[in-house]
Amino acid sequence: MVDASGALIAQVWAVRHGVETGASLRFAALGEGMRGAGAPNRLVELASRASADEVRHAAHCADILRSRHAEVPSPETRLLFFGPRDLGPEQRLTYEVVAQSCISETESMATLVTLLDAARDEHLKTVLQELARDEVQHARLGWAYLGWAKDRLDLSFLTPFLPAMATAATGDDLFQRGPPEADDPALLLGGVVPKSERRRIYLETLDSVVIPGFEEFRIDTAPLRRWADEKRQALVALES
Amino acid sequence: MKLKRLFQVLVLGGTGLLAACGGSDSNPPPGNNTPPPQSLLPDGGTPPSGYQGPLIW
Repeated sequence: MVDASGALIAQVWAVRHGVETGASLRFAALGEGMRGAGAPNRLVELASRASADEVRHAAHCADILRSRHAEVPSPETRLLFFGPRDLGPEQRLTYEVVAQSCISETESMATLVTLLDAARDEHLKTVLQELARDEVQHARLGWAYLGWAKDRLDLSFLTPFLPAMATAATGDDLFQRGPPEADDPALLLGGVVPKSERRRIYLETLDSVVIPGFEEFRIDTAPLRRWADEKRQALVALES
Repeated sequence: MKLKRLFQVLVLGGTGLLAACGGSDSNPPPGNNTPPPQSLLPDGGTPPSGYQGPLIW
């Protein structure tokens, strides 16, 4: 593996370290929000457990960074919320749960499934299995929450926000051209999905899991479908 | 686990989980005499402009 790919692998694990530590703070707050909203204890407990899981996941990311002789970044200490401030309390909570669990954690599961299929290193495989086992619950939390919230809240307010959530989850550059090493197949052995594969997985998961999931709750997904179509068209140009 | 199975595992698994809770373990919702909460979430930081959700893994 060339050095550029090794550096990219370390960079991705460093970003994941931040994602995990930030998610830990968010899940703790979301659990308390659910408790305040009167959600079932099972969901509150799941959120609390997810917060603890994410701390453990961050420790795995740090171990992998150290094993690659890469710097471990400082943990995320800011509790960040992404939804518009002018939403009502229940809407704001719902926005954050959907962005975290229904989109981010659900899409992350697809990444983990792909990495698990490709993993050869026993330690990496063990870590990925542990993460996947936990992330299933983190994603289910969001869909379970929607099942509870749908009888208490008009979920149609989510529709115009879904493309922005989908955009944010991909970061700045997933649908932009990357350096050659970003598509190095050897990245998979280091626990990183090559960029072109990542784009395909992201859109496929949106089509086969996230969008049908929202439609289970009668949430209009037309703007999200349009967003996905635009990205697919952009990909044709990008990969031609 | 293939991607297509994720709908069953995550979405239907999530709704099934809620069904398994039943109605017996809900936290008490705010009563009629209780004013609606100003917020269910603590004050949080504002992410950089343009970020409207958390990153995927």
